[in-house]
Formats: sequence, structure tokens, C-alpha cells
Amino acid sequence: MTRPRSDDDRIADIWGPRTPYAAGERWPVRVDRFVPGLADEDVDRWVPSACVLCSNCCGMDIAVKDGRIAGVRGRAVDRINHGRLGPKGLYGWQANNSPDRLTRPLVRRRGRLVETDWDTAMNLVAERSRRALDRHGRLGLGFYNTGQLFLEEYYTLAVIARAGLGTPHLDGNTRLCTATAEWALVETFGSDGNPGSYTDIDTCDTLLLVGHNVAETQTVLWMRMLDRLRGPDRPRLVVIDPRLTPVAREADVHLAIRPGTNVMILNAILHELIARDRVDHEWVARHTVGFDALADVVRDHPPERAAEVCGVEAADIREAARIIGAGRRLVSTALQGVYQSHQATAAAVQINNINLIRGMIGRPGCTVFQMNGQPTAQNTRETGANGSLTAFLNFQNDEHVESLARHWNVRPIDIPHWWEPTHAMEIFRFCEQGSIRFLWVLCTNPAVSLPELHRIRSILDQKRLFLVVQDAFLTETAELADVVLPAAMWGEKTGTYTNADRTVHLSDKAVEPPGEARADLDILLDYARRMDLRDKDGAPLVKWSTPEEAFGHFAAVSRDRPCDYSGLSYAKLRDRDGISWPCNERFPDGRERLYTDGVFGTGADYCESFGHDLETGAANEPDEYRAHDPAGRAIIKAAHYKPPHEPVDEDYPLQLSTGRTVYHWHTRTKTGRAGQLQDAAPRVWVELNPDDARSLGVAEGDLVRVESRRGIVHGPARLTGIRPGAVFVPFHYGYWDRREAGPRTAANEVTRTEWDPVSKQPIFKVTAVRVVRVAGRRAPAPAPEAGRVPAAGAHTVEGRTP
Amino acid sequence: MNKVGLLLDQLHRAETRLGAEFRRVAGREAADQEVYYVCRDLARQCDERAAAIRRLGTRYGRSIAAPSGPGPLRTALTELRRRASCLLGRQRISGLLLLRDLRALFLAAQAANVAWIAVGQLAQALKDGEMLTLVNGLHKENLTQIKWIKSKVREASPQALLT
Ligand code: SF4
Repeated sequence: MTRPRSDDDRIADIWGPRTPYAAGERWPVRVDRFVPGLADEDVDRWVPSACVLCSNCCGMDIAVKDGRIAGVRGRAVDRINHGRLGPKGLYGWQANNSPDRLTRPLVRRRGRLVETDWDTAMNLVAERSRRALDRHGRLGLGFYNTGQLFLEEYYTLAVIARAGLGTPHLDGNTRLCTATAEWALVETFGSDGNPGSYTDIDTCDTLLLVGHNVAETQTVLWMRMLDRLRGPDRPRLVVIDPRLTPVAREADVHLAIRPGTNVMILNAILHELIARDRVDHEWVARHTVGFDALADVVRDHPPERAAEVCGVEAADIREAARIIGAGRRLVSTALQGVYQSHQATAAAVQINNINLIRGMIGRPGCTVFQMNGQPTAQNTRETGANGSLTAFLNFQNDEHVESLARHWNVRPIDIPHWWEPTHAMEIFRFCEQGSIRFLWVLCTNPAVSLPELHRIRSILDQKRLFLVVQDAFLTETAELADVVLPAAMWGEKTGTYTNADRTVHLSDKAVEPPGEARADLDILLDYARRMDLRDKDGAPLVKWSTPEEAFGHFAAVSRDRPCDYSGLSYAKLRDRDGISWPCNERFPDGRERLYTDGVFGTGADYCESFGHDLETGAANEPDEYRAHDPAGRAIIKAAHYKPPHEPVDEDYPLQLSTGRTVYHWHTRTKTGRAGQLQDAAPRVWVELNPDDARSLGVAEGDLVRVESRRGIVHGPARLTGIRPGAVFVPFHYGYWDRREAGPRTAANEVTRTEWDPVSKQPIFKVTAVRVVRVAGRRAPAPAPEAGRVPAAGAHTVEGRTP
Repeated sequence: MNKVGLLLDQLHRAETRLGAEFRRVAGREAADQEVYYVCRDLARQCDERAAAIRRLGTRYGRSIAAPSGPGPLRTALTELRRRASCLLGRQRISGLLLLRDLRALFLAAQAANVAWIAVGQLAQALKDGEMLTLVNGLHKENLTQIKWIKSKVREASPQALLT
């Protein structure tokens, strides 16, 4: 059923009309389109692309009119979205046309940022890099990038930093969003890469969503799930989330746990599955190691104990386990509620374990999705622009490092591999210590997105730190920079990116960037030239000058690795819509599902890492791993529950978690400049449970102060179905669009500096706070309707469920 | 039997010292969040191991005294150390201090390791299966702690020494 639609309103009707379907059927097409004021025939050109506003990467065409982006429409043939677009995808492109784009480089002169030309700016960047190298060595430089560049740009950056400058200090803000997804996959399956395909939603009969508010974070994926939930053979749905999210409202069982108790609840579910023998023993024996240790650990986690710790009913835990145990095709997913909590990797791995002991992986409708947050996060991981080695190579494996060195024509010793590459929080720690003196921030906004902002600002503001910021807008971070480089945005450059189910899209340049803004790739290539980076034979280290050439080089490095791109080319990607890796001679059309033969990436010579102790993050020694080589079997790792490091107490009796709203992305650098999105959620708010609000004397719309041991944030109260004792504040609201000084509104003013010992992902979801009423209601709380419950806090809900 | 008690006594002392060392390092490295939190967790593990050793001692007729908790002065000192460390954390020298702390931790953890080996052998010789299972589990925990210390040394050395 194709229903072409025009100019839909995805603000009021977030998920649009339903197109229900049954298991095994094809998800119907529904084309969403927003090209204001233009009919299809008025558009000059349609340029194939994919949305870069979340990890779904929905296929879309960019409408071009008079050399400007004039709108978008979903692509009906795309395997990800079958034509659909959510609010961010539909409206977010307008940021490209925003009048306050950066169009010229800026340098700091006498304390102020002033315009300059590229030569001056880049010479300064190169000179200061060399000075840091001379005085402080290669460990004196750091790079902090994003989850929104293209594969070609990440790869080039990885080569420059790792082989050119030889610094391990290169990481992305993906550390804040997908590091745990990455490490949960590596710890269990030996290598990164989600095993399944989005088509598994089409065939599953049971869904388990843990800390994954997919309705707001990946709206189009939720449309797919919702169409199944409205279909004739509705899958059963179990949701674990402290908030009554739109997803939770659809659940058969919603476990509204206390923040920070994921491991406990998951262990209790595993306990029940094992106690009731819902285990595929034969499959487990053949394809996994570690089951007995898991059974031992979860024996201490019966539902009664979990009920107490998590603040839910034991009967509900049993019912959840019963549903999961009865399912024959189980899809489990996780996102930030798991990844940004304490014991992040330990919890994420238990979700893998649920599917493993059920023997439900590698078959249609059976998989686990360790979701990504950002659109191109997968590519930072593949290229090694985050804390891993390029092409999922293992830094503790000498042969792997040698092969990488051969590709780059450098000596293995030139590539820092004495330890895991430095993670973002450590990079900032080294800046704080003064041992990093040159920091280049590419297209991200740490001055709003990192925890404990007063600390981050004081680090970025140091005189001894030379700060380069590359961005499309003058962000809060750019305002602290010594040099600002104006970058082109999506639609203004060519490149590829890969979504959470390994689907690769090519996005062609549709229009010219404004003014003198340049593609990120061109900026990096310029830097490599000015730094005169050479390989071991004295030839230029970076041997490409176009995105397509960069792609070809990466494809060659990735050959025979799990993320094998060697069978992909721009021509093929133009020809066909979205292809999943690995794509090689064996799988010329890509491979939709990994591990179909039950053989995982854990072999000692193949695996990406020898793994870690989940509790401390201690790395396993190569010899130790080889002595017990799992040789293709998945690794079941158990973990005991541990309480959070900062428990609530009398002074700070509530638990804050931060997160997103459906209309915004990160620090609103883009979405805040799209009128519909900004108007839909213009200001920060503070979500409270109605009972908590009552005891604090707070009414809907009252201005409140959220205080932690680290800072204060202000906002109007909004009473919702969040569980008692928990508080939620969206983290999007920094200061760039504020016309006058006022109280702090960025949620990260109050968050704390702590991270998961394995994935090193910061903990944004568990901060002890107190809430104080400041003033009476001024205006209705400016929050969107999603997540709304009647003030009584009952579980019957009106709202925007379609 | 007295020799068993003596050995358990030694092991108990080694674990108590290791726990104190983890606590001390946590206090000194408060600006390094990971070291701070992990060391505090590992100190607690040491406490639990020490308690298990005391229970084992009772079984073998040796009453081992639990270490006295930190007095008010101690607690105040620890807090002072934590604050000083947060200030010092902005100095480049802090990397070198971390290495020194890790070295001290490593030595204390190895002392416990040796004691665990001896006690494990003893359990075998005594044909005390229950004791052997217990000792193996706890010894493994001690070895994981050593692994963590080594991980941290590898990670921290270049930055501390080269910049
Ligand atoms: S679901 Fe994600 S990728 Fe798809 S349109 Fe929305 S923001 Fe873009």
C-alpha cells in the first residue's frame, strides 16, 4: 500500500498515520515529504542522501532549488524507512540555510574572535601543532571529534592522528552515546557490529526494550515497531525504563525501575529464564562459553531481591521473564538508559546474554540491537576515529598492527598501540593536568554536552591550552576557541555513513557550502599538507584528495575484517539503496544478518579485543585469552549488581537522569535553527513525579531549581509519569541562543564526572539531586506533549498515542 | 593447626593492608575519577575478603581481630587528602604521583597474592574442599585486582613520563 503524502505535520503527529502489517509481511511504504511552497515538478534536482539526525539514517532525497536546499522527502525504496521521515529528518535541514552559519575562519586577537582567511587560520593551526609537538611531544596533542562526520573524514582523521602525529589522544563524542554499544558487542561477540537487521522487527514475536525510548530517539524505527504492534499478530512488548515513555505506554509489562539498577533487573530476568528452564541448552553448549558462571551469579538475584532494589513488583518481573521465555523470535534493544547508567557495559552484556541463552541470534526475528545514538557513530568505530583501532583491529595483536602499518606504509611502532587509545574523558583530564596543550574539537560541543560543565569550561578556557574548533556554527565551545574553522554541513559535501544495522548510504553533495566554509575532509587534507606528514618512504602520508579515494583506501584496509567494505564502491552505492556490511566477494550484495552459522568473531587471531573484567575494566592479557580461546563461540559474561557510587541521601534525595526530546538533537546546534523543532520545544523543563512534586510544594509550571553537589540548573516543573524519586531534565539547552543573561539551563551543570570502567562512557543517568521551588507558575511548561500524564500520575494515559 | 592459623593471620594482614592502600590511593587520586571510584570499590572487596578469612580462622580455631575502623581524625585526614588531590590534579606532576601510587598498590597486591597461593596449597594438603573453593574464588578476585593495576600502569606511564 503506497500512500504518497505531502507536507505532513510531524510536530503534532510525530509518528504519522499507521500502516499495520503482520509478521513476515513487508513493511508498507509511506512517503513523508516537506518541501515548503514547492510541488515536485518545481524542484530543480533531487539528490539521494540519508538523514543524519539519528542512528537510523533514513533514506531521503534532498530537494534543490536555485542552488539551495529546499526540502526533503523520504525514499520509498530505502530499506530503513520505506519512505518515512520523523520530525528531525523532515525539518532539520533548514539549519543549513540558517543566516548565522560560519562563513569565514576566525582567530582570537586580543581576546576577541575576528574574521580572517584560510591561509592565516590554517598556518596558525599548523604552527601551534608543531609547537606542541616540539615542547610536549606527540602526547601533547589531542583530537575530539563527533558522531556526525562522514566515514571518509573519520578515516582521514584517524590516519593523521595515529600514523601522522602518532598520538593516541583521538576520540569522539560517540564516547557519550555509543561506546557501551560498541564494547557490549565486543565483549560478547568478540567484535563490534550489530548482529541483526531492521527487518527482524518485521518477523519478531517478542520485543524487549531496555532504557531505549525509541519513540523519541529513533522515531522511524518506532513507526516500524508500532505498525507491528497495531498489526494482526501483535508482538509482546516488555519495557524497562524509569519513565513512562510513549514506548512504555504500549508495553505488556513496563518495569519502571529505579535509575541505576539495570544489572539487578536483568539478572533477575536471567534468573527466571534459567530457573524455569527457558534455556536452549544445546545451542548454548555448542555456541557459547561461560553459561555456568552466569547461572551461578544470577542465582543471587531472585525477583524478590530485584523487586526491592529496583522498586518494582516481583510479579511483574516474573511476568516479563515469562513473556521473554515464551517468545520464539525475540528482538532485544538497548540505548542510553543502559549506556549512560552506572555498570553500563555489565548491563548491556546481560541483554546479549538473554538472547544467547534463548539461542535467539543470527536468525530472522532473533537478535539484539546495541543501538547507536548518533547517525555516523558506527563509522567512528570502524575507522578508528574513536578509542579503537581502524577496521576493528586489535591493538594487542601484533599481526593486526603490522597489517595496519603496511596499509599506511609506516612502521608499526609509529602507530601508538601500547595501550587502548585515550578515551574522551581522559583527554579532557590530560588537558586539565596541562599535559595536552593543543586540542582540536571537530563538530561537537563539549561546553554543553560533557558532564560537570563548570569543570569543562574551566578546562577549555585555560590559557595554556590552544583550542581549535571546527563547526558550522559559533557554538558555546567555539566561543572559547583560539581558532574557529567554518565547516560545510551534510548536503554540502559527499561521503558515506553507516547506521545501527550496518547499512551504508552514500550522500552526494547537493549544494555549495555558504561563503568560505569547507568540507571537513578538505580541512583535514589541508592540515596534513601543512604539517607535511610523511610515510616511511618520505611520500605524503595521506594519499587521497577526494572522498571517493578516501573510501577506496578504507575499503582496502577493512578487507577480511568484520566490517568488510571491500566489495563496496560509490558506483554500487549509487546504484542500490543502502547496503549492509560486510560486503565482499562472498557477500556482493552485503550481508543482512551476522552469525547465521553461530560462529562469532571471538577467535583469538580475529577478535577486536581480548576483553575486560566487567567490574574494574582490567584488560585481559593476550596469553590468558589464547589459553582459553573461545574460537568462535560467544562469551557469556556475568556481573553482580553494585549500587551506584553516589546514592541518594538526606541532602540530595532524588535521582536525576538527563536525556533527549523527540524534537531536538544534542545541543540544538542544528535543530534549534529549524523553526518547527525549536518552537515545539523551545526551553528546558524539569520532569517530576506528581507525588514528589506535591511533597515539594511544586505545581505544574512552577520554576524550580535542581541542585547537585556540582551545580544548579533552573527550569519550569512538568509533572509526568516518571517514577517517584526520579527527575528528568533534557540536556539540549545551552546558551547560544539566549538574548540576555539568566540562570543556568544546561542539564550538565549538575551531572558528575564518572564513567563506566569498560566502555568509559560517562554516567549521565544517575546523579543525586534535590529540587527546590523558586517561583510560581509563569507560563505553561514549554515541554512537548510526549511523555505527558494526567497530574494524578495514574497509569491511564491520554496523549499522542496514535 | 596453629600453623594454619598463623598463615591465615598473615593473609588477613596482607588483605587489610591492601584495602588500606586502595583507600589511601583513592583519596590521593580523587581528581582522577576512574582511579578514585575503582579503588574505593576494590578496597571494599578487600574488606570482604578479610572478613571471609576471619571466618575461616574461626573454623581453624584462630580468632583474628577485625581491623578497627578509621577514627574521626583518620576520616578528617582522608577528606583533606581528597581535597588536596583535587587541587593538585591540575598540575602536570599528578601523572607521576599516580604511577608512584600504582607501584605501591602493586606491591601490596602481590604480597596478598603470595599469601593466597600459600593458603591455596595448604587447603589442598589439608584436603579441605570447601576451603579450597573459597580460596580459589577469592584469590581470583585478588588476581583481577592485580590485572587492573597493571592495566592502569600501562595506560598511565607514557603520559606521565613523556609530557
Ligand atoms: S528517525 Fe532518525 S534518521 Fe530517520 S528521519 Fe528521524 S532523525 Fe532522521
